[in-house]
Formats: sequence, C-alpha cells, structure tokens
Amino acid sequence: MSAYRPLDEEIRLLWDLLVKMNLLVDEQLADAIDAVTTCDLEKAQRVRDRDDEVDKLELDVDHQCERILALHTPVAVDLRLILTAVKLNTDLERIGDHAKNLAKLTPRLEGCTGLVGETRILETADAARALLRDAQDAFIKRDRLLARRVIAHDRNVDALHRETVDRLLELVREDPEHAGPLVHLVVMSRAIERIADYAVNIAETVVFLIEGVDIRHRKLQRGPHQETPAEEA
Amino acid sequence: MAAPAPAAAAAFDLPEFDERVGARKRTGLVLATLLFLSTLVGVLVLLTLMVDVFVKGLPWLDGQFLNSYPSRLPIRAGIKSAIVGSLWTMGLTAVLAVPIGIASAVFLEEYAPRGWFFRLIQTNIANLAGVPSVLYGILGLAVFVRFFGLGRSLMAGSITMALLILPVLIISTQEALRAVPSGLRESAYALGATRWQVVWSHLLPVAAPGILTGVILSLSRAIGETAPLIMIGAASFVAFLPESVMDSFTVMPIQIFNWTARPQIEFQGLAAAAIVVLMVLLFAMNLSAILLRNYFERHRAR
Amino acid sequence: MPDAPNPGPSFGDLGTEEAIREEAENLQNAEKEPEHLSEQGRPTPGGPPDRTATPNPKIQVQDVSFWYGAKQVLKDITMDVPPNQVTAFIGPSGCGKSTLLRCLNRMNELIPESRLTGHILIDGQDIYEGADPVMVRRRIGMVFQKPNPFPKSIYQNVAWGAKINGFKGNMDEHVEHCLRQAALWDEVKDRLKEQAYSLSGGQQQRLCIARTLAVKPDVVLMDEPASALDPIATAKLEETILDLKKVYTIIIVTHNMQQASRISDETAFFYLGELVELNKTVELFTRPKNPRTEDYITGRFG
Repeated sequence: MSAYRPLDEEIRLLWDLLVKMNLLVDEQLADAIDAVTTCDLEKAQRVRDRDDEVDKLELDVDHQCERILALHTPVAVDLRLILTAVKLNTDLERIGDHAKNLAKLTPRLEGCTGLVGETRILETADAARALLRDAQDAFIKRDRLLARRVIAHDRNVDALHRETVDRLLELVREDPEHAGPLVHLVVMSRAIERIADYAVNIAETVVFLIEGVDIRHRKLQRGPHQETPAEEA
Repeated sequence: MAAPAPAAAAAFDLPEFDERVGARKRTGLVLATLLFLSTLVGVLVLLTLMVDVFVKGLPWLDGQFLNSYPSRLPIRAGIKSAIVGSLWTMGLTAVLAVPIGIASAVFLEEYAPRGWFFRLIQTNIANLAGVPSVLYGILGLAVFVRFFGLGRSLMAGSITMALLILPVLIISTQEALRAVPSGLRESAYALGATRWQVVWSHLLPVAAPGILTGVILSLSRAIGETAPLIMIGAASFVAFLPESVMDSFTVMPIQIFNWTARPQIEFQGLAAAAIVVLMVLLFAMNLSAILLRNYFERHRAR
Repeated sequence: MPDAPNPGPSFGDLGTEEAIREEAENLQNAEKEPEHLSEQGRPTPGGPPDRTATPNPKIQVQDVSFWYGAKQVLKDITMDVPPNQVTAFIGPSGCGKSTLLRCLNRMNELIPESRLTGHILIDGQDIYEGADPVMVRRRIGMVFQKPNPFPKSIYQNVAWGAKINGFKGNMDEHVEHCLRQAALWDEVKDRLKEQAYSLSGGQQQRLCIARTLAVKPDVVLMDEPASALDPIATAKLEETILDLKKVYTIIIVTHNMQQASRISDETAFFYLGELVELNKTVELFTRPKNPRTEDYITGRFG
C-alpha cells in the first residue's frame, strides 16, 4: 500500500552513500592491518591517500541529510535513519582516521615485524575488524540481534588491548633499544581499541534505528521515564 | 475585435487541434441573437399590451375616476369601491396567510421529523400550489360562505385567498430557510442554543429577504385573482365601502372584468383605466419588495 | 622509559561485575521481543492502543460506535482525554475523526438517522443519558473549519451566546475578556459595532473562538480550524491555542500532521473508524507503536 514519495529517492541516495562509505572504511582497515603485518609501505601509502575519499563521503552524507531534513521533515523511522546516518558517518570517518594513523606509523616499524609478532596486536586488530564488519552487516541487513551481539563482544577487544599493552611494557623494559617502535605499537593498539569502540557505537546506532530504543549510556538512562532493563533493580 | 493577422495566429496553432475559432464564434453569435430575439418577443408583446391599455385608459384616468363608485353611466363611474376592496382583501389575506405560512414553513423545515408523514405533507403542499384558483373559489363558497355562514363577505373572500397563496408561501419560505448556510445553524447550536433560539435569532433574520420576496410575490398574485372571488360572490356593483369584515365587497379584477363585459365602448376605456391603476399598484408592491430586500441585505453586509 | 599512555575510560571504569551484568542484560534484551519494530518483524496489529490510564481524565470515551443510517463510521472507540492539554486527532479522510469530535458535543444528533452506542463522559458525567444537549453544548464548545461568524456586529457575535444562556454580569467586560483570550481584542477594540464580515479570515476564526469562549466551556473542540487560513494566520491561531490550553481542554482535528506535532501534547490516530494509536505526541512521531501509524505519518499511505 506504499505510495510513491519523493523522499524515497532521497533516502535511496543516502543509503547508497552510507553503504559505499562502510565498504570503503572496511577496506581501509583491512589494508592498514595488512600493511602493519607485512610492513608493506606501498599499501600504507595507499591507505593514507584514500582517506580523502572517506572524508568526501562524510561531506556527501552530511549534505544529503541536511537536504532531507530541510525539504521533507521526516518522522519516525525516516527520521531515525537520518539521525543514524549522521552518527554513522562521523564514526566511520573516525575509524578511517585511525586506519590512516595505523598506516602512518607503519614506516616507523621498519625492521620490527618480529616485535609485532610478540604481542597480541594482530589478534586485537582482527577482532576489531570482525566487530566492525558485524556492525556494518547489522546496519546493512537491519539485523538487530547481530547489533546487540557486537555490543556484548566489545569486552574481548578491551581485554586483548590490555594484554598487548602489558606485553609491550614488558618488552620496553627488556629491550630499551627498540623503545621507539614499541611505543608506536602501543599507540597502534590504542587506535585499534578505539576502532572497536566506534564499531560498538555503530551497533548501538543500528539498534536505535531498528528498535527506536536508545541503548547508550545505560547508567544515565535508568530513570523512571526511560527504557527500563528487563532485570529487576 | 479584428481577426488576428495570420502570422500572429500561427504562433498559437497546434497541429493536433483544428480550432476553427471563426466558425465557433459565428455559431455563438447566431445563438446569442436567437436568445435576444426571444427576449425581444416577450418584451414587445408586453409593451404592446401596455401601450394599448395606456392609450385607451389614460383619458378616463382622473381624480373623479378614482373617487367614484361604479355607475351605469360611464361618465360617473369610478373604482373607489374596487380599490378599497382590493386593499382590504389584500390586507386581510396577508394578515391571515403570512403568519400561518411562515410558521408552517419553519415547522416543516426545522422541527418536523423526517419520515413518511413528512413527505406526505410536503408532496401535498406542492400539489396544492398547482391547483387552479377557481377550485379554491368553490371551496370557499361551500365552506366559508355557506357552511360557516360568513356570507359573501370580505372575511370569506380573504380566507379563501389566504388558502390560495398559502402553499406557494410555504414553499418559498422553506426555500429561503434552506438557503441559509448550514454553518450558521451549526455554530448557533454549538453555543448551546435551543432550536427556537437558533430559528429566531439567526435563521429568520438571515432568511428574511427571501421570505419577504416570497410574501410579496404571493400577495401580488392574490391581488390579481378573479375567479375565486367571483365564486365567493364578490359583487360587481358595489356602490359603498365595506365597513367591516363581514360586509360584501368588490375587487379591481372583478370590476375590470365586469366593465369589459359591457358592450359600450366607454366601458372599455374605463376598464383600461382600471387596468392601469392595477398595474401601478402591482408595480408599487414589487418595488417595495425589492427595496425591502435591498435594505435587509445591506443591513447584513452580505 | 615512558609509561604506557593513559588508557582512558574504555579500560573498564565500570568494574568487572557491572560489566558482566551489563553484558548479560544486553543479551537478555536482545532476546526479548521489542515493543516496536520497523519494517521487519512487525508486531501484529490489534490489541488496545494502550497508554497507562489518565488520572482525572476530562473526557472519557467508552466503547463508542456510531452509525450514519446503516453505515458504521466509528467502531468501539475507547480513550481518555486529559485536562488542560491539546489532544490531536489525525488520520486520512473518512477515518471518523471528525465524526468522533462531533459526537463529543452531540452535534451529530442534528443529523437524522444517526445512532450512537457507548458512553461519553465529561468529568465523570454521561453526556448522552439523562443530559440535555443544550447544556452539554454550552460546556463543550466547537470551532468549525470554515470561519462562520454570525451576520451581526463583532460585539453581538461574542455576546449572543452568553445572552441566550442567561449570562448575568457585565457583558462589556465579558466580551472584552473573551476577545482578549482569543488574541483579537487589540485588533477590534475600536470597531466592535462593525459587521463581523469586515474581518479577515484569520480574524474571523479567532472571533469564532471568542464566541465559543463566551459561554464559558470546559472543553473546546476544533475541527480543522486552520485549513482555510494562510500560514501567518495559522501561526497566530496556533499561538492562541497554546495559550488557551492553560485554561481549557482542547481537542483538535487536523489533516496537517506538522500542526499536530507542533501544538498537541497527545495525538490519536484513527483509521477506518478505529482508534489505532493514542500516544504522547513526541512518542507517536518518533517511535509509533503501530506500523499503520508509522505508514501514515511517513506518508506511505496511498
């Protein structure tokens, strides 16, 4: 019983932009991790160059959202999609930035691939990438259960990151000569952990889009008028 | 308006349309002319009649004519009793018919529950409006003159005329009430008014111009009716003025009818003069109707 | 050797136990069927368009059904209207919202062959059984879609309703008070004797509001009051409504969803004679519970 709405075309445009941005950022992250793993300087440079594309997509998404809000005053699910798009594109752009930072630091690791293997940083990276892909899948397929699972699994990445940093501190004490690259590795691990956080943000936004429920900052939301959790207090 | 130059016309042409504007306009002109001629026929006939009457009647129209009673001698005949009788009749008829007519219309339009009985009454009123007036005369004769013993009096005549114009009056009043925009009714009810308050404060004032027009048109018809009053027995030789409603009387149409029946040519002239007087009276009534309606509409500013 | 950089809040400032609890509840919530889903896995429609019961509702509609002749136009409507709020009725044409509105002040009784079952209460009192429609309509006033002031002066428009209801008090002051409440006093205070029709459309509509307020109702019903007005007059009208709700309870039927979302506190969505959803306006426009509501407010309806 759907009538044609001019808004549908605009939403289709917005959707395509978001999908494109998701895919691009995922590729950037994969390439950055590869570059770190194999110390591939060419790949790293490509990641840094392609970050401009990510930024451009961020602008495009913002403009399209502004346009839709001004001209169509969307409500309900349409409104939530616009809000989702605005949050998503910020989170994706930040992920892209962190991927770029990973790529930037890759040259500093020259000759230190062995060190990389001593830590769990690659596992962390893979876990973060998996989280991101799941969150993106949840968005594209509108799968709220997948989104909620992403939120639960963030703990793993945190744990891995803590372990990595501990190990790196050990290594710094054992091997002060390589303090430089080791510190860079700490920064990289941090960046990866941040990427995982942004993936969780994306998942929370997807839950908001589909369920209309805002599940961020649960502590603050536990008031008498807010969504009360299933468990008893 | 001159036909546009071909170059300009081409600017408006479209290949799919065969506009033939010239031919269409010509057809329109022919038909408009026919309409005008039809109107002309009506107007010309009317003018001819009026001119004829005026020419025949004006010589006889003077103060003495207006102030004398009918007489066997044309030179001394006048229509005083007829005019007075007409005015009396019209007045009484109005007094009888208007309140009853308006009240009935208000009841039918605003109060009566819609159903088979209502439809029965409405249909009958519509039918009665078309009954030939002479039948009303017969009714009046049988019921009022004979049965109620009113005799050949003003009263009997007026009641009969009132009955004659009642159906038309009711219908035109109903129409005037129906023409009141429903928004007015609704907003008055919505303020917690009773039905009577709505009718009295809003419906009647707004419908008043229409009602008044209906009243005056009905009375204009009444003043010109001859047949029913003849049946009632309004005499044709009345050499006195009615003093009370129970007196016998005559009215102008009857006097005219009576004079035209006489062979002497002078009486034709007298009849024509009387017709002129009657027409002036009718004209005055219609004029007052228009003026009153304009007054009400201006007062309402819509 | 520099220390590890400050890890920041993501290092689990929640502590282990709370983190575990959060995770558990997160997964639990994931399994629980949410109240609202859009586009996939919609909850089946039907069931009460619930809202926790209003304390001290101004108007209660209980299982109301309404028929025009044989056609059922309202089906088992049950809802409460809270006092001193604006409640909006929205829905496509023919969904029954105007019909329900007119049932609330018994205006539908003026239409023959209409029938209502169920109860409507104001402050706990049934407005149909054992109540006089005239008195009900004084307490529950109505402003209509097309501004329809009486063909009288501005002063008379406001005063008439009060007068027929037997207002005892200073009429001049009362008229001024009502015109002030309707945000019209400043514009007309120097021309109270002028005809109401000399006002603009927006002013006329506010005059109709003043007229409704003159009988001191508790509730003001408005049937698409701005649909005949331009945007500026509409804005002024909406401002007036927001002021009025401090004193009165207002129910407004509107086709314009943005108007409903701008000025109403609660919104009821009707479709094909049924109440589909009744909710706080902000909830209804961001997270409607019923997929039909969402289809309508996002314009997906044919």
